[in-house]
This record gives sequence, structure tokens and C-alpha cells, in this order.
Amino acid sequence: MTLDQDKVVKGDNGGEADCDTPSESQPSSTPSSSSDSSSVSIPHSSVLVLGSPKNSEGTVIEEVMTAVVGKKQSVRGQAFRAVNGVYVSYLCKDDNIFYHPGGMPMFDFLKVVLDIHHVDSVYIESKHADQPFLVCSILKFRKSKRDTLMVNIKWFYRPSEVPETVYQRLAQDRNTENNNKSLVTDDPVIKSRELFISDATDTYPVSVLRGLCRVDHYSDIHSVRDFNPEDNSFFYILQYDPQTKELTSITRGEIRVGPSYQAELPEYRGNVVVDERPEVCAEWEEQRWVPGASLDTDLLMYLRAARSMAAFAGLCDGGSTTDGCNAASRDDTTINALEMLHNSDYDHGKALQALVKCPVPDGIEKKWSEDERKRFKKGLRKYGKDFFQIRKNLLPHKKTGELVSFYYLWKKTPAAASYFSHNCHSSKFLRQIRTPRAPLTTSSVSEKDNDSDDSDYKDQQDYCCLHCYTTSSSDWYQIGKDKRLLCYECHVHFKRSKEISTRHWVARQSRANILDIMEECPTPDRWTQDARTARYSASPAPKNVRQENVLQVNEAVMSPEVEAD
Amino acid sequence: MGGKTVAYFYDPDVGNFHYGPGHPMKPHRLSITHSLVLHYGLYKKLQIYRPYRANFHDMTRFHSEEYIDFLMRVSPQNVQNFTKNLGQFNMADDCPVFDGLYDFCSMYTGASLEGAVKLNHNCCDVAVNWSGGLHHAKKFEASGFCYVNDIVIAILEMLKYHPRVLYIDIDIHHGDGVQEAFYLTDRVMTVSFHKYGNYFFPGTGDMFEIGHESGRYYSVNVPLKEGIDDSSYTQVFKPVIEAVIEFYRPTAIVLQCGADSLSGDRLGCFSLSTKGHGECVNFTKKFGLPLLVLGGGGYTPRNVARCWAYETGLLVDTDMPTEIPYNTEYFQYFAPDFSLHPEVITRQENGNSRQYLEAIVKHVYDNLRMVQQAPSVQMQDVPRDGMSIKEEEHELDPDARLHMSEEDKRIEPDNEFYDGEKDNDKDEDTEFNTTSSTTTTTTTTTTTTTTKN
Repeated sequence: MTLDQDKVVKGDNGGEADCDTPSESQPSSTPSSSSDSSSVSIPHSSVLVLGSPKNSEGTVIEEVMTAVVGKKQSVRGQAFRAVNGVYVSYLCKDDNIFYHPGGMPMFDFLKVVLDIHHVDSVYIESKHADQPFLVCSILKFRKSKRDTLMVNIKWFYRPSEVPETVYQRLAQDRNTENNNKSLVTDDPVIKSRELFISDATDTYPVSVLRGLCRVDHYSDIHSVRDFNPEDNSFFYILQYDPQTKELTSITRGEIRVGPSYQAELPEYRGNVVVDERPEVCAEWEEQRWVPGASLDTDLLMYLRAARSMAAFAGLCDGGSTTDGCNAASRDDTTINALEMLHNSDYDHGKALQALVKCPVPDGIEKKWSEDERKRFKKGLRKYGKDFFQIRKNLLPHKKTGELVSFYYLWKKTPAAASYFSHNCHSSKFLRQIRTPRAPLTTSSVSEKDNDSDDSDYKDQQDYCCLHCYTTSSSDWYQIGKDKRLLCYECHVHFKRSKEISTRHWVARQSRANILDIMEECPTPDRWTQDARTARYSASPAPKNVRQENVLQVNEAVMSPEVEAD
Repeated sequence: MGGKTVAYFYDPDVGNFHYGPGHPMKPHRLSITHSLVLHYGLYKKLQIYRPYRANFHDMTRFHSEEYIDFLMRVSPQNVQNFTKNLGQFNMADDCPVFDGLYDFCSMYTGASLEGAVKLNHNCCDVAVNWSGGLHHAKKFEASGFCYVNDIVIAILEMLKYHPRVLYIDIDIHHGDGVQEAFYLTDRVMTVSFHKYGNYFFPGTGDMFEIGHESGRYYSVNVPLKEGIDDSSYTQVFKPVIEAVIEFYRPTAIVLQCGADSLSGDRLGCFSLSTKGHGECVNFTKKFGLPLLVLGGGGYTPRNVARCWAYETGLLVDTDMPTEIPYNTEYFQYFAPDFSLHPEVITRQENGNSRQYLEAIVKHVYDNLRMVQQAPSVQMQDVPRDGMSIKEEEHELDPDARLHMSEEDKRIEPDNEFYDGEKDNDKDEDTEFNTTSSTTTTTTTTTTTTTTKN
């Protein structure tokens, strides 16, 4: 509880805590109203009825508790489940933010109608507490087996998350393309707002959610000029593939117009009678079958006869009845018989006579010698299914097409099965399963945790934010390699936008100096201590600010209960 | 037994191409499909043709000469000499240079083109080319596993004698190549049902792409979300196609039956069953217009074969047993169920709410109304042929149709043989000429008499 007295809300930063809530009015909102709302803070809310009250639209509201690693307090929220069992949104009670999947059909549809091109995205906690929040968009919510509400997300990558070489190459390309003229991304603020969209997805408990943000899409670097770097807004141009580690432009197709794209239409000559149309089918075609030329029953008999002949021929050739059966059941046998019939003008007698001379066309068995099969298998092992390479290097006298047809017929035979079972443990045949990012530990260095961190700041009262110079904060954080100390507010700002340097950076200044400057800065101490103390008591620290916003917004709703308390 | 003559094009070599290791497009699915068609006994009812092979001239009816010239010359052996062109023609990962590339293109394009010619000559009512339907190819470049756009080339052929051609695309990917080719004209209406959003390939196909200039309102796009099932698909497909036929009154239809909209496709994310997919074909067939049926995508070969074999059966009005014929050489591919209609495994929830679909259908209606209002020379100067024939058929449905079909059957065997030649030797061979002219007159008389009925 004592720690809470140190909590400070910086007026100018308070607004960014939640882009959805009208935050402008916040600094001026009176202490009294805040203190009212404080009485509905977490400890009391346990009196709320847990369960699944149904609202009028049939949507079921479920109370959800999500445990947070390293914290006693769970994150509380409400999940809204539609009639069909799908979770449509999640309300985090700590900050009162509604989270929706970005890909809801109706929502997408509206977006199209309203010509909105941005993606609604969220922040989530990074496993490295000193790193900015990660940005992603929500795909859907679902319940895990352990009954935890999980959120399925799709990643955006910050430039710092892609390999440095990759990002540098991009920067170079951009400069050369632009003939080293100044670019929008030269502005560090703009630069820090660039993200890369990706297809990588992950699933986490909802407790990692840290607020909403907005990600705009721009088709190229020049149109980014329209980007307004307000709080919690980002943009992306390119896509990042974490597997190939490549940045690619997004394949957003377009229908192009111009003589290079459209077909030239022929003149319409509908008045030409069918018989006088100059194209001649006969020159082109080679008919293989005429329907109805042979009665079904005759055809059946004919095919039987043809297959018997094939079976007998096969039997004579191979020496066993299975050889005979195989010969009879080959597709080629049937096709051959039908073609023969067609060539004999559907005269069954003539066709049978012709068949006697050649009852079975050569099959795989005859066309492929044992040696050739061995070579084929060797090639398959060596080149994979690159049939051109196999042919070129091992079976030059065959056609690639023959190899392909052999492969597909051979593939499902017992011989092939043994081949594949031999090779299947070589892992290159297995697709690599996308390795998810290491699971997040929801960490924010809370009071207790950072005790051990650094001996320099033994006394909390002596901490000083190197950004806003406040000495009072609910929490203190170290960021970056040089472990710069930030207050809670600045830290949140940093986590979201990765900017710290909007103001003069005075890391090396003496303590006294800093304190001097502090006097000029808008001090958050305008906020009454008691209000804050009451409000934040026993609530998980990093959520405080957003919670405050929310409580103000929700005052009207909550007040009866507050009174009751 | 409907009285429809169905021409079926299949080149025995077309399945023996390979795009390269790891590539999802497998032309061999065509061989598997054909094997099923054969063993289901469907060949009995088909006019089977080994198709014509398209040449440079045919391909350059749409494509640029430079591009086709490149396709002709490039091969895996000399590909390193063409590095500059590879980028220019978008021949990268999706569209590799493989052995026999040009032959492959010439086979599937030739088949589609021949199908169009046959339809123009009234040699058949329906032409089927499962190897065609490569709808992404652009005038100057390859795209999405497609090199030569056989659809555009076939439609161009049909446009010689058809004032208005309707193109329907039920591939999961947007039919961007065809739409782009005919984006400015009202003589072709392109209707595509596809997955749209989240940068799903090719990224086009928004419902607001409606065409441009004279082609405004003649491109219809139905963007769908993942996981759509049979009933939702039908809920959109039928009203949209009905409205399109009503407002546009096409005289011929080209149907691209990409099978990647089936559930369990390697690249797709819809949940259609073979029956649901086939229902679209059946529905389109019922309008009784000259119909060119083409393949397209489809990346789980066994399902592609099931689907297209089943649809071939639908086109010749044949009930097919659910069990896969045991004597097909590819029998093992259909394990473990060996069924023509395997159970649909829904991997994905249906992301299409009822309201969403209704909104889309309404949007399409609104645009189609503009088609009717748009003053178009084409619409007026065309005699109402297509419509009246259709009406006739509806009128005399039960008996007359049987009548005609019987007649067809009797004539066909002899007729078919001379049919081809009659065009060939118009002047020299009087004997054939007379026979053919008599047959045509008989058929015309039958139609006129039936009209009177």
C-alpha cells in the first residue's frame, strides 16, 4: 500500500493509456470523481455475481480470471460468447478495454463499405520486460482445455524484431531508390512507427493484452506522408516472413487498365451461318470416341473379351495368374480396346481381330527395366521430385513425361512403400513446423521484482525518471542496454511507441540538475495523493493508469454499486 | 438421359508434366481424373477428342508475342540465359520453368480453343476440358501457376459468333486474368466467387471491382470468407447466377471449375463437398446455353479427380456409384474410404454469416440492375435467339426433348463421322456435302416444328 503513494500519473501522457477512451478530459477530471470510482476497485468487485448472465441478444457473458505468471492477482475480465458458441469479444476489467477479433466478417464488410484501410490491433506484453510491447492483431478468442480464455493473434514485427541486416538492407534500398533524398522515415518518430505485417500466428492467455492501437496500411513509402503519428498508431508497407527472414512487398493485386492488359476483341459476325464459319474442326481434332455408336451391351461384351485376351496374354508373358489379372485391369488395356473399336468404325468383330494381334500395350513392367527402376529411385533420393534432373543425370534415354507417369503409378505400390519408409526418417521430407515464439511471461518489473536489480537505486525515493524526471512513480523500469531508468508512465509510452526521446535526454546529468528541471516540468503531483492511493490499492501495478481511465468512463454505470459499498 | 452432346477433350500426355519438387500444382491430377471417367463408364456418353495443340498464333490472340516467344524458347537447360526475362514475365517461384512447359501450355490451350470452336459450330452442347481454366495468366506475364490464359483465348473465339459470353469462376482464387482481359467490355461478363481478404492470392476480387468504361457493371465479384460450406455457397451462387442470366442474357457460358474450393484442399480454405461443387455445374448446365466447362486450381489431386469425374457424370446425366471403381489404376489414391464423396472435414469455421452473404447478393443485384439500364448497342441488335431457344426448351421439356435426343442418337453415329469432314470439303466433295446439308436441314426442321408446338 505504501508503494501506491508513489504512483504518479503524468497529465500529458495519461491520454495515451487508452486510445479508445476519451482521454483529453482526463487531467481536468476532478479528484472527487476519481475517488468515487476508486471505491469500485478490484477488491470489492468480488461481490459481483459470477456466472453467465444472459443479456437480451442471447450473448452470454462469462466472467474470466486469467492467472498471470509471477503475480498473485489474476487478471479479471468478461468474455462475450455469441449464441453459436464463438467468443466475440473480451473485456478486460482492469483497464475496461474491449478487445475484438479484427477479422469478424461483418466487421470486415463494414470496413470495406466505410473504406477503412487500417487494421485494429493490440499490444501484448513482451517476455523481455525491457522491450517494447509487441503489436499484433486479434484473430479470435477461444477457451483452452484448462478453461483459460486464450487469444489467437497474428504478429506485426517491429523493425527491431527483424534481423538487423534485413532491416538495414531495406533502409539502403529505400535510400538508393530515392536517390538519397530525404524520406519520411528519416523522421525518427515516423521511423519508430513502422511495422511489418506477417502471417505468423500464436495463441496466448488474454492476460497478455495491453491495450489497443491502430495500424494503417500504405502501399509505398511515399504515401506514408499521409501518416499521422498520433499515439498508438502505426503503419506498415511490407510483409515480413519469419521463416525465410525476408521482407516482401504485399501482394495486393490490382486490375490494370490499358492496351497492355486487355484483350483485343474479335469482330462479332453473328450473321454468318454455322456452316459457313471458316474454322474447320476436322483439321484440328482427333476424335477418340463417338457416343452411342455401340450399344451398351455389345460394348460390355466387347470389353470383357478384350480384357480376357489381355489377361491371357499377360498370363503367357508373366507366367502367373496375377500377371494376367494385372494386364487385364490396366487402364491402358481398356483404353487400347476402346481405341481399337473406334478405329474399326465400331465394328466389334474387326476390332477383336485387331486386338488379337496386340491385346496389351506395353506397361510399366515392360517399359521399365530393373536397372532403370534402381536409377529412378536413386535419382529420387538425390534430386527429390525434380524429374528433369533425374532424367538428365540418370535416365537420359527416357522422357521427363515418362518419369512423371512412372512415379505416380509406382508411388502407391508396395515397392514404393518400402522405399518411402526407408527415407521417411530423413527429416528433410518433413515440413518444418513453425516454431512459435517463446511463450510470454507477463512480466513487468513490479516493486518486489526489481529489488535485486540494481544497487544504485536502493532507495526508491531517489529514483528519477530519465525521461520526465519525476521521482515518484508506481513502478520503475529499466530499458535498453544501458538500463535507463523510466517511470511507469514513460515506460508505457516507450513500450508502445518505442520512443523515449521526444524530449531532451539527460541521462548524464547530475541528480541536482535533474531535480531543477523537474520544477519546470508539469508535475503529476497535482493529482491528489489520496485519490490515487485509494484507487490503486492492491491492484496489479502496470494496469493502473488504464484502469483509472476506465473507471472514470464507467463511473456512471458503476456508481450505484459504489454507493452501496 | 438428357439429349446433350458432350465433347470431352483429353490429351493422354497432359498429365505427365511436373512443375518441380514441392510445387502444389500437379498436372497428373488430370490423368487420375481421366482414369475415373473411364472406369465409371462415362466415356460411353462422351465425344472424346484428343485435342488440337495451340500454336504461337493462337496464343498471341491474347498474349504478347514477346511473352509467348519466350515461353517457346525457355527450358530448364537454357533458363540461365533468360534471367532478365524471368523477372519481366513473372516466372519466379509460383510459375517455374519446367521441362515441356510450352507443350503443356499448347495442350491445355488447344483443348479449350477447340472446345470453343466446337460450340460455335453447334457440334456439341457442352465442351469439357479439365486441363484448362488457368485463369490467372495475364497478357504480358505468367501468374499463379498459369502461363497461357486458355480461358481468354477460348472466349475470344466464342465472341466471333456470340454477342455476349458469360464467364463463371468457382475456383477459390479470384479469376483476375480473365477479369482483367475483359475489364473494359460489355461483351463478356465475368462472375467470380472466391476467397477474398487477408491478402489471399491474387489480392483482387473486391466487390467494388465492377468493370470500367463500357465494361462498367460487367465484372461481378463475390468475395467470400474462409470455411464456406455447401449451403452458404448455394445461398450465394444460385441467386447471383440467376440474376446474371436474367439481366445479361448471355448466349454462351464458360464455367471455370477450380477444385481448390473443395474442403481439404492443400491451398484452399473453403469447406465445399464434391456435391456442393457439382451443384454449381449442374445449376449452370440447366440454363441450356452452349457451355464450355474448364478445370482450374485444385491441389489435392485425389479430391480434384473425384470432383471433376463427378461433374463429368453430371454433365452427361449419369448417376455414379459412390464407390470408386476398383479397377482404376489409381485406386490406392482414394484410400481409406474409396468413396466418390468423402466426408467433409471442416477444418475451419464458416466465416460467412448469413447477413454478410445477403449483403453481397444485394450488392450484386444493385449492380446488375445497372446493366439493364445501361444503353448498350450489343443488347439491342442481337435477336433474342438465346432466350427463345431457352424458352422453347422449357416449354417442350418432357416429350419433345426425349424426342430430339432419340433422333440425335440415331443420327449421330453416321453423322459424327461426316460432321468434321463436311466443313472440310465444302466444295469438292458433293456427296458428303449433300448428306451433311440434309442432316442439318432435318435438325433445323425439327427445331422449327418443335417451336410451333
